[in-house]
Amino acid sequence: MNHLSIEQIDEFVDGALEPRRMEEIDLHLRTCEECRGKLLALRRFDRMLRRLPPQRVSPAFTTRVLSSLGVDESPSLAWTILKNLAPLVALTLVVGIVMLILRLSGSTLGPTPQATQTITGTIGDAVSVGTSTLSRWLRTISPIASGGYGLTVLVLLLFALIAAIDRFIFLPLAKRKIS
Amino acid sequence: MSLSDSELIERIRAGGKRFYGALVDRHRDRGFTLAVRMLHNREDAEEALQDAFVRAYRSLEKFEGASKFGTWFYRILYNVCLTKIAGREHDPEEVEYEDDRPSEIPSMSDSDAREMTEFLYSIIDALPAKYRTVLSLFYLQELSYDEIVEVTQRPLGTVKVQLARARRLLRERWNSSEGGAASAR
Repeated sequence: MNHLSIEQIDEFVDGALEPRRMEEIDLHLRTCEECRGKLLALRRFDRMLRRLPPQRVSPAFTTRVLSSLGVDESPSLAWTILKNLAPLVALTLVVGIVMLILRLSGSTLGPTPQATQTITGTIGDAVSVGTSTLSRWLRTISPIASGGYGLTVLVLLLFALIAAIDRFIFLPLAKRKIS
Repeated sequence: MSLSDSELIERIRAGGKRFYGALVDRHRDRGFTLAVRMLHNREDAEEALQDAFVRAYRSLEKFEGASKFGTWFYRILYNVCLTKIAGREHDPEEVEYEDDRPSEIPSMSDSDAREMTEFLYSIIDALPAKYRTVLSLFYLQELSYDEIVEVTQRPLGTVKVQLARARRLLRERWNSSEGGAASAR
């Protein structure tokens, strides 16, 4: 048998030949040092090519693809909390605005000013009692909440903590689970 | 334990659209490597890749699972890149180079792994487009002959001939460069 061509060795390495031809080439390679040398060099070069790392696309690519499809990535816990609180915040705002309008206009269309005052007074008392109980409790567990804006600061800090835990612990865990 | 491509696809079909992000993450870099080889331009490659992922998502219902998701996706990407190339040919200023134009190969000054990678890519990129593509599909996307046939829709004989020529050219250029000398040491 003559020496093998590079193409024949390539096809042998790729396993792309008929079984009988594979056997013939295998037999030749066992006895021909020159062809075996070529085979080893080709295999070395092939390995080097197969080990080439893929080129990296920009980091925001996946987000861009998903947003062009109108698909949200996993919603964060912080966003979920905000989203769930939104109706409550909106309701409070609407009620507040209505109350303010009624109070400013002295309107007789809605409840009478006296009735409004009674209702607002009752709600206000309830909110005030609830808030002061909560703030007293928070002051006992945290010294930060004792200042003028302490409660707000504490709530913001708690929210930031939840957002950080969500961003750096829960989301990576969820992503790892998916991929 | 990570989910396989077919498991991810099942979940996407069941309404878990956000699982598509994991599929994109898994195939984007290899897809980008193919698109860069075909288009020779990173921005165009990224645009083509995004287009291909969007098309793949919209046709996911048609994916029957007869082949791997990767092969099916590369076929979409390959066609998007071909369309882009055809579009360039209508606008001669956008064509970067001719198919068989001889290109200069930069010499390698260091045998450090990162430079070796860049050097190998530079030799591949200096090859004619059809050879770059088939080399990329074979070595970088790790597709078999049959899968390359499926992606490119070319006959097996053509794929074999192109791959053989691409390899020969690549090796010749590698051996004639300092890289070949360095690897022989």
